[in-house]
Amino acid sequence: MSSRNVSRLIVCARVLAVALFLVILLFPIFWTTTMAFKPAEEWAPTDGTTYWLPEDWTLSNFIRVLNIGDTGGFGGIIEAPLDATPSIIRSLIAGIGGTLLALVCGTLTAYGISRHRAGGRHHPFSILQMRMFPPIAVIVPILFLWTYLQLFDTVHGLALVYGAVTFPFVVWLMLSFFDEIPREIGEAARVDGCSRMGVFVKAILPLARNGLATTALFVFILNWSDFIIALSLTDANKTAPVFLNEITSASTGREFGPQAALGLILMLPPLVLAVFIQKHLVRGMTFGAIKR
Amino acid sequence: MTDVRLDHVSKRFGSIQALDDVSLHVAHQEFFCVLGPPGAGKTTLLRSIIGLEHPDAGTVEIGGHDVTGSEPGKRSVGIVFQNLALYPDKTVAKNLGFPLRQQSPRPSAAERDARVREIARLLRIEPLLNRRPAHLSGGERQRVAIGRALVRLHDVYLFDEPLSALDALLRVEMRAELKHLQRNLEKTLIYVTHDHVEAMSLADRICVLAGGRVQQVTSPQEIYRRPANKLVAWTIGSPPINLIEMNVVENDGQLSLDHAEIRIGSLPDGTLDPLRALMGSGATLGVRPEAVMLGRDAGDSRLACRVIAVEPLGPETIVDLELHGQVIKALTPPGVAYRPDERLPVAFDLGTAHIFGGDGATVYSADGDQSLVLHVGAPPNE
Ligand SMILES: Nc1ncnc2c1ncn2[C@@H]1O[C@H](COP(=O)(O)OP(=O)(O)OP(=O)(O)O)[C@@H](O)[C@H]1O
Ligand SMILES: [Mg+2]
Repeated sequence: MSSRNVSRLIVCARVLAVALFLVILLFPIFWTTTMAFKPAEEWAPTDGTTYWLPEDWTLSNFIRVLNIGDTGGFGGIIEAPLDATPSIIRSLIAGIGGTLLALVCGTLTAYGISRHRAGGRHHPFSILQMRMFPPIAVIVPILFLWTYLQLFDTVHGLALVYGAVTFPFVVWLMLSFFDEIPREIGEAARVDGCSRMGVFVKAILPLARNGLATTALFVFILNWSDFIIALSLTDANKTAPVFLNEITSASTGREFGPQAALGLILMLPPLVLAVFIQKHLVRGMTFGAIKR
Repeated sequence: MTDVRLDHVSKRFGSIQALDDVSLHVAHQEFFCVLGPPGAGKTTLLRSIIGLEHPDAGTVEIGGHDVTGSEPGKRSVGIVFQNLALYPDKTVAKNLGFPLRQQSPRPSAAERDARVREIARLLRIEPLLNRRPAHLSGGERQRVAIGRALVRLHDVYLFDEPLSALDALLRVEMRAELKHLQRNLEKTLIYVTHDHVEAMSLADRICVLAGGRVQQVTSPQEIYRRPANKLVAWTIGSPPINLIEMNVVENDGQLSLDHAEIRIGSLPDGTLDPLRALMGSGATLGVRPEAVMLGRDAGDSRLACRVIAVEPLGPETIVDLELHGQVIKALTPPGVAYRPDERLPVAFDLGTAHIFGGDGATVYSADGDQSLVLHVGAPPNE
C-alpha cells in the first residue's frame, strides 16, 4: 500500500471513531427528544414496531406531565392525574438555594485562604477531603439528624445539604481565581480607604465575577441533577428527578413518553443559565492591572 | 507640618532581614529619594510607611503622630505601587474616582467628576478616561496609577519605581514632569528608584539603602563627592567607580598606598591614623571613570595601559583598560578614536578620589583637594 493510501485510511478511521463517539453521546438526547413528542401508541407500541421519528407529533406527553389539560386518556383508559410542576419548583428552589449557600460560604472561605492563609497550610486540602467519599455514605446519619431537626422532606433541608456538598467545589474553584488576582489590587483598595469587607466587595469580587459565574453554573448543574440525596431525604416533597423516576401507571408500567417530556424540561434550566452567563465563561480579566 | 519619621524600624521575612534598624527623617515638602539595588528593602520601606507591612520593631511617625499600628486608609498617605495595581475591570475615570468614593464624607458626584478631570488634565490622560487599563500603553498606565494616588489630597505621597517600565525617552520626559509636579503640589514625596540618575536629578536628599540598612542620607552633590562608604560610591555613577586594591606601606616613617604599578604618596594628615590601622590588610582606592584620563589628556604620565574595549556613546566614550589584570573604565570626551590593544598613557585625577578602609567605610574623600600624589612604577623593594 502506498503511503498516501495509508494516510487516507487513517483519516477514515479517525472520522469513523469521531462519528461513533458522537452517536453514543447524542443518541440518548435524540431519543429523549423524539420520544417526548410521540403519542403513547408510538412510545409503547404493542406490535413491536420501532418508531425512529414520531409519525404523529403530539404535545400530549407535556400536557400530561405538567397537568395542563385533558390528554384524552390512553387507549381509552383515563389515567390518574400527574403533575410535575410542584416538583420542578422544589428542584429549582433547592438547587438555587443550595448553590447560593455554597457560593456565599465557599467564596468567603476561598478569599480568606487566598489572602490570609486562613486555617493553615492544609486547610484547602482538608476541605476537599470532605468530598473524597460519596455523599451517600453519610446519608443515613443525615437522615436521622434531619428528621430530628424536622428538616426531613423539606425543600430548605435539601438546600442545606446541597450547599454543604458543593461547598468544597466552590472553595477550590474560587481559590484559583482569587490566587490569580494580584495582592496589590486589594492593598490599593485598602489604601484608597476601603474597609476589609469593602476591599472584597468593591475591588476583588468584581474581578472574580467570571470565576463566580463559571462556578455558579457548575455547582447549579450538580445540585439540579441530584437524584440520590433527594431520594433519601424527601418523601412527599419530591424533586423533579425523583418524580421523573416514579412516573408509572397501572395500565402501562413505566410511562416513557411523559418521562421523556419531563427529562426534556429538566435539560432547560442549565442550558438557559449557560446562555445567560456565556460571556462570563471566559478568562483574562486581570490583564492590564499589573506591570510586568 | 507633614514630615515622616522612622525610628529604628526593622522587618524580617523568614530568614531575610528586609529592613534592619532603619531610622530616617523626611522633612516637610521634601523630595526624598530612596536609592538601592534590587532586594535592598525599598518596597518594604514604603509599605511600612503606608501601613501595609507592620514592622517587627520601631515606630513610624507622620506629621508628629505615631501611626505604627493604624490602618493604611487612615494615614493620609498615597502610593503608586511598583506594579501599578490598577483596577483592571474599571475604566480610567472609575480608577481615578475610586479613592474619592471611599472618602468620608463622600464628595458629591459632581465634585468627584470635577476632581477626576482636574487630575486627568494635569497628567494629560483626559482622552483616555473611558478606556480600561488593558487598552493603555505602559506610559499611560503609569500616569493613571500616579493619578489615582494624587486624586485624593494626602500629606505624603510614596512612589515605588514609577518610571521603571518606561522606555528611556519617556522616562526622561516623565522625570521632568514629576519634578515640576512636586513643586506645584507642595507635598512630601518619597520616591524609590534603583536608577541613580533619576535620584540625582529629582531629589532634595538621597538615601542609599542596601541590605535593609541605610548607608547614607545626604544631598545629591554630597553623595557624589563624599560617599559614606564603598557601596554608596559604587551605587552612584555610571559606569561605576573604579575600585583598586592597595597595600598600606610605611617607609622611613612615610605612609603610602602601594600597588604593583602605582603608589599613592603624600597622604593627608587626617588619614594617617586610620590607614596605619590597615597596615597589612590593605585599603581601596576609588577613582571615578571621569577622573581617568587617556592619551594626550594624560600629559606626561608614565603609566601605560592596554585598551581592552571601546564603547562610543555619542557625547562620551567608555574605554576599558587593563591595569595589572584588573579592568579600569575611563569616561573620555568623544573625538579621539581609541583602538583595542593599543597602549595608552593613563593618568588619574586624584582630586576626586576616595580611599576606603577594610570595612568599606570612607577614610578619605579628596573633594577637590589635590594633595594626593600618584607615583608610577613598581614600588621599591624594602
Ligand atoms: N512578603 C514577603 N515575603 C517574603 N520575603 C519578602 C516579602 N517581601 C519582601 N521580601 C524580601 O525582602 C527583601 C526586600 O524586598 P523589597 O521588595 O523591599 O526589595 P526592593 O528593594 O523593593 O527590591 P526591587 O528593587 O526588586 O523592587 C527581598 O529579599 C525580598 O525577597
Ligand atoms: Mg521594590
